[in-house]
Amino acid sequence: METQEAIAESTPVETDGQSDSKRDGQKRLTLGPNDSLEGKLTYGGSLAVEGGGRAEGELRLGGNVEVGSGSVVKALIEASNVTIKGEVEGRLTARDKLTLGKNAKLNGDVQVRRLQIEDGASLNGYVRMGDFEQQAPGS
Amino acid sequence: MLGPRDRVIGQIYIEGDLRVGGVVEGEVEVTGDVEIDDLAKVKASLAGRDVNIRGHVDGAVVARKRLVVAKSGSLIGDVRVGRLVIQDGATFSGKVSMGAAAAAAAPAKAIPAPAQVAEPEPKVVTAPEKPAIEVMPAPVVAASKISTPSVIKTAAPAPIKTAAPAPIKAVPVRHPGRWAAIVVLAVGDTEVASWPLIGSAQPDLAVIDSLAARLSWPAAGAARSACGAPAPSCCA
Repeated sequence: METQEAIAESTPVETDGQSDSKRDGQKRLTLGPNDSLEGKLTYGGSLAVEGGGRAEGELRLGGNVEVGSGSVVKALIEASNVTIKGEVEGRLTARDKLTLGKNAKLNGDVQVRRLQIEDGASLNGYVRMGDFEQQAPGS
Repeated sequence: MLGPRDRVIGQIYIEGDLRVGGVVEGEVEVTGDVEIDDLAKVKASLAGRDVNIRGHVDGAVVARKRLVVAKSGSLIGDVRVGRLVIQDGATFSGKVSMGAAAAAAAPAKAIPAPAQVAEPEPKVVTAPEKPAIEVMPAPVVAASKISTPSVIKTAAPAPIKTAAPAPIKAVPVRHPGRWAAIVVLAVGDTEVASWPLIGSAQPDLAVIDSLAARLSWPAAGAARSACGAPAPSCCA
């Protein structure tokens, strides 16, 4: 249930487009409804794709990734915690935990340490679970 | 319900629900729901409507409706499910195929219920454990059966009592419209070979002899003399 709290806490939608804000001393990038990202992103902080935002390419993050409902991400994703409520296509690595919300759709192979899937979520792909030593992005 | 001290190895088909608390190895198919309790250890493929895993499962899972891996559960194996719930703390590794299509594509491989042979003749007392198809024309190559001996599951009395060490049981089967016989070659309760003899009153003992020779049994001759029962399909 801790995830839900984490989500609630980070829900305030920043619709002012791409913004880089400090939050709890953590860098955080938000893609809003009219924003899109294409290419490769390597970032020490966290990324949120919300309210219909789009991202495509490769996302390597030191922090977390959140894909809100209505948002679409087609990318290789690597992050600590990944929370999906929208649609994601691509290989995904969560160094800590992957959470699929009840309307989430995920197509792609997944490597995680912990996994939580809520009823109603859709997942197609291989799941590998366990501890793994992978260096944080940028190192 | 299979309790914590229960243990099943083999193939289970259940019309209804199943709850497992102990050890299961093999293949499990259930028309209803499957529940795997915390202490259960399952090394089997599972098929059911709702499948709820709180113990350990190693094997493929088909859940026509929903698969739940609870936080105490661990599942290693590929799954085909309608819906999937994995609680935080659960262990899961495998391929996930989800959606109505995945559930529909899942092979509906029912384990066939033992075929009942219609009206056995009074003198030919048999309850063949095989589905009738296996008795139908295609001749079984005896040699190929040797490599995969299977246990005879039925407790049906062999119509011909052979003398103690003799390895041959002939099982005549009446089919509507014609005569057929299966000759089952067995050591103790283990079937080594069987083949149908359709329309034939006598098994070909030369085959038995050659098999016996290959398995280096001393009993080939003994077997021949051992079964003196008046069955239509036994020895000369």
